[in-house]
Amino acid sequence: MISKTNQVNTTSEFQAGEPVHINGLNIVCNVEKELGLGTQGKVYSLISPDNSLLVLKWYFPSMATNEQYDILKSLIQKESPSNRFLWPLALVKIPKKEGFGYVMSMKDSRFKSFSLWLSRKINPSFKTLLTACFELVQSFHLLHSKGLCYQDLSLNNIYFDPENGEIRIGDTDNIVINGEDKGNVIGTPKFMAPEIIIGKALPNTQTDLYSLAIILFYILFLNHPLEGKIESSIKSLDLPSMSKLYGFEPLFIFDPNNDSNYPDPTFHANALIFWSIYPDFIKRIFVRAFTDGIKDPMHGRVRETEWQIALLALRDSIYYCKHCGSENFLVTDYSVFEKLKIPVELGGINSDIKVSKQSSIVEGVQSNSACWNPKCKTMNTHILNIRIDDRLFIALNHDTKLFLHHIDPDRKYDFSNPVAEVSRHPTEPRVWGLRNLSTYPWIVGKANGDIIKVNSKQSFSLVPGTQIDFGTSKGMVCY
Amino acid sequence: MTLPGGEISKRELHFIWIVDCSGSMRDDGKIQALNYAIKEAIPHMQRESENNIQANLLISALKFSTGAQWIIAPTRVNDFKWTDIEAKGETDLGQAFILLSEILRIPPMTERGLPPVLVLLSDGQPTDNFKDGLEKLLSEPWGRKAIRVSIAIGEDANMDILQRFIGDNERQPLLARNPESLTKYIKWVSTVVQTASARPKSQQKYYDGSISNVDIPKPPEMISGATDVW
Repeated sequence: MISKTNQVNTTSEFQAGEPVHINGLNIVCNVEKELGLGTQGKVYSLISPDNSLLVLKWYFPSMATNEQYDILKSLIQKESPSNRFLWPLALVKIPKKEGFGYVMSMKDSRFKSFSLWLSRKINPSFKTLLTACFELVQSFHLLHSKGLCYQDLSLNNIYFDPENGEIRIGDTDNIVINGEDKGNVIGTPKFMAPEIIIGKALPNTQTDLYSLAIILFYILFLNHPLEGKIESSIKSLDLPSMSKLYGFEPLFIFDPNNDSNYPDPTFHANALIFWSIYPDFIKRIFVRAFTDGIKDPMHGRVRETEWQIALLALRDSIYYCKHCGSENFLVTDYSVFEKLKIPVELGGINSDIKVSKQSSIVEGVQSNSACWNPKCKTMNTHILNIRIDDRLFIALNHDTKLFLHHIDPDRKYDFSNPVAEVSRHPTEPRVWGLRNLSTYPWIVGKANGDIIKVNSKQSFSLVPGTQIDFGTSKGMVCY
Repeated sequence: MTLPGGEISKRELHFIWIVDCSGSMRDDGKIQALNYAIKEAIPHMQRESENNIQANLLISALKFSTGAQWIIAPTRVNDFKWTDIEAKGETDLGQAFILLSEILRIPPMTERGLPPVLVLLSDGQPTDNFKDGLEKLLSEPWGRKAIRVSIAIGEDANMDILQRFIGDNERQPLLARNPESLTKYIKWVSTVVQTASARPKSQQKYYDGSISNVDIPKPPEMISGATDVW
């Protein structure tokens, strides 16, 4: 039936083995195979001379616009904000092929789609998830502070390493200078800011902030923040009903002043379970993201720097249940929170943002120190932690490490090298200590009043009441 | 330690193949090409659905020739297997529509679903009263809301009827002039269209604003150069 002499020769596609001249990188690669088909074009893996992992995205002729070409050209000229972005490296044009494409690095196979977590096909820890969330927020902060806007942020174009939370951000070819109104995407349904859905705005850094909050909520609660009872009452979720739910009448499932979209326990159990586990300070910031953040796109949205502080505080509060080992969150008593001076705008204790009341289903689960694991529920008391100045506290677990971020107020978010780690006494396994991994000695004031010097590589015993002068800040061991 | 909670709750998405296996599909190996193309699309469909956080994809198939029959009951995408079908008989498209209309209601459809995807593949002229069948199909809310896609296999297909099935002048039936383009279109509907209903993709800025149930991405662009062999 097929006449053999007439091969399909579509001029905007590639066959395996076809050479690709990448003039910008001064190399010639060969197409290995087609990796995927998207709405804008096709993506192919390449075999490169030095075995570096490269992919080629080739646009469909209708998508290969001059504007897209200019966007790519300008992105290639700018440097990538960080190695977390799979940034365009070089434009590719090939004689006799319609349109154009670009080359970017391929993400390592250890990076997985978040959809695998949402489908529970992988089992990351809270620590990993919070690291990934922090890295996302940090990466978009970097991007936005360069005046750039991503435009199409969704779970479809971000990836993470389930072992350690390192992330990669793909589909960077829609990144433009904020406010330039370029590019041909407006976003992905469910992640688009309401003002875009109702046609009042085009993508900008403020709408990126909204999409970012949606992503964080999805990752930490395994539920869309606007999918509650109203969603489950919709029989067929089609475009008109989606526009209403996510655009014209958005209502946070935990809106403290309106419970008409409260999670439906049959379909939104995840939202209820996770809401009952996280400490109030993180819930308050989400309440703000999806109440003020919806009402006031310009001024109501949670900024990346606020997310950074909150996400790291949450990660630092993780401790392991002494009975089952599950990761729980240390909620110190009210007075400690007051002392910690968590800013009001971060949902600190003086904040007037209310957190929605627990539903009857989750009542009883919420307790400051009972393990959330339904098979365990052990009361955990006396969780060892360290308070640094009045800024933060960190639960001290067998594997906890402190970084410059923790002890040096001028080196916030510096996680490059640990400066301290929890260690075990060499001969007394029941005694835990904190080892100095920095090059400076610490001055440690023991609970009995003695002052000792703890040099590099030395440890001191973690006894409540012990005070440590790190040089750049002071810490106190608490129980 | 495993974290609390479970898989994100997904909506049911029915994807239904409606396959013409009338006698004329025997000509030029059309039915073989169709069997091949659907089998070829299965792994891509499975891979696409793995990344799908919105939908539980259920695939079923019905064939029509003389009369119409369900050949595959709704099956989860990972368990889906295509059994080759043979061509003989008339082209009772109307019967197929009636059969479809019987399942596009609640129940058997779920109370919490996504618009189903109906893919009609045909090479010819209906031999029965397709109008009544189509009317019955579109009288069901789920039939109306469905994303309806049609693929013409070869030039002899009645494009007008395939267009009426789609019911949206913005979108035309896909004309597969040869086995390669049939394979390509089938892969497109089974991956890109699947996700239009379930896993929304980036939306283009210059959306025409027309009221439709689901925003369907553009079909793959077919550049001529392929010869017409059917």
